[in-house]
Amino acid sequence: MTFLDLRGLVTATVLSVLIVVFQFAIAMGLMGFVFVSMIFSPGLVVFVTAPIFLVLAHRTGRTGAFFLFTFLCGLAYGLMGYLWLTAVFSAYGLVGELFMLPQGSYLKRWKNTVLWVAYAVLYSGTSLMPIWFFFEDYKAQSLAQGFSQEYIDAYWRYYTDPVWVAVVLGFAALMALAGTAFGYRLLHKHFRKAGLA
Amino acid sequence: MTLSFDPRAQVLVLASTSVLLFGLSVPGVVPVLVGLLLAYLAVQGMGRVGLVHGAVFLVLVGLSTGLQAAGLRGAFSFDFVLFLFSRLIPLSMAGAPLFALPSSRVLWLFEKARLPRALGLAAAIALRFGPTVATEARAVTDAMKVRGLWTLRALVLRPLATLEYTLVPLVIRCLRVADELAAAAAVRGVENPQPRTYAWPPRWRTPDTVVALVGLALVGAGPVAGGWLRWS
Repeated sequence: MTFLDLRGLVTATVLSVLIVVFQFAIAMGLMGFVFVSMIFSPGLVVFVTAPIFLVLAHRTGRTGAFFLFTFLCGLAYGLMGYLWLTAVFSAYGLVGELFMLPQGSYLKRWKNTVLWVAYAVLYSGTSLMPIWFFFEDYKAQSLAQGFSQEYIDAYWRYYTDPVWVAVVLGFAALMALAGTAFGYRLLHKHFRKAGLA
Repeated sequence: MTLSFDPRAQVLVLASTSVLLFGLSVPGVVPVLVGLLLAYLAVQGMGRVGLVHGAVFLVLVGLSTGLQAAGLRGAFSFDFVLFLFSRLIPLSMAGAPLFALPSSRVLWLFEKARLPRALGLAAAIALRFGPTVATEARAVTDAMKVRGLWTLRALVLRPLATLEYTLVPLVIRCLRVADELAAAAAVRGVENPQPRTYAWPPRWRTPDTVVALVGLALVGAGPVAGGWLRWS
């Protein structure tokens, strides 16, 4: 087991920041449309950022890369008030590291694909979180302002119905799968040839 | 005169705000928090950041009220977004000073929390590198615009190609920056295993106690003001 050296640590950090920036840019861009954002935003994010993660994995190729990435994602959420997510993401990162423990796992396509799909499921879960937290307050306000209980329940159903939640998580997992395929294409076409990964 | 709070006090303010918004449901707490955090940012010389947040909050509340007054609240999901964003503004205000922490203070904070130095280093780099990513991304998109590759038509008709033309140069630029940063960090002795020393280590002072107490008092007063514990 070889841990990240300084160059690997900085590279993993910089590419993780790039992924986080893409995550927030896409999520914020789509947030104006709650329904579309809930269904498509996590899937789109994991598709777009998959090539960056693959460069991170192949460039560093050492234990600690995935943990560092999840820790920084969690830290970004933590600095925005979701403090417990720092712990959740870090714990997820540790589990991921256990999965990637044998030397050379970061260079294996199937392992990176499984890791990214698993991350996609976690990430899409976080996109539902603010809605779960604040809907009760919104419901109380809406009822006070004359909305009917049935109307609110019909809206809320999309965020609690297991079928809809499965659709969100499943779509993200599929997009993560497609994203890693696209990412490996870019990796072979550009980064390998340039000796960067 | 601007105050420089101890990073631990700043974390406590963020934690209190987080508990007030996520842990408790207190009626009318959001405007109170926005007002208090505006003052909190102003005394740290971040008044402009506070004013921007305050203005956005007023716009969101105004839009929501306007929609309701005009009888246009049928756009239910849009109204919920306005509501959601207005709840996230205090969190963004409480976190803003932490985003602006100098690298040495980030390292100090991680050291105090007895977390591995590598994580502190990664956090310090991440906080400093965020704005650089935006600059690099702008440089890439500007170059694409000159070549007519960054257009709405290209995004719609050839999304994968556009993504490829954006991601590849951006990642390569970032890798170059990462190599330079790693070399600079190595030259500054970041790999030295000896305990790090600080020219100006943060000290816990009276203003830190005041903001910490205000945060804790608000959390304590939440249930008294009619708040209830979420998930109970």
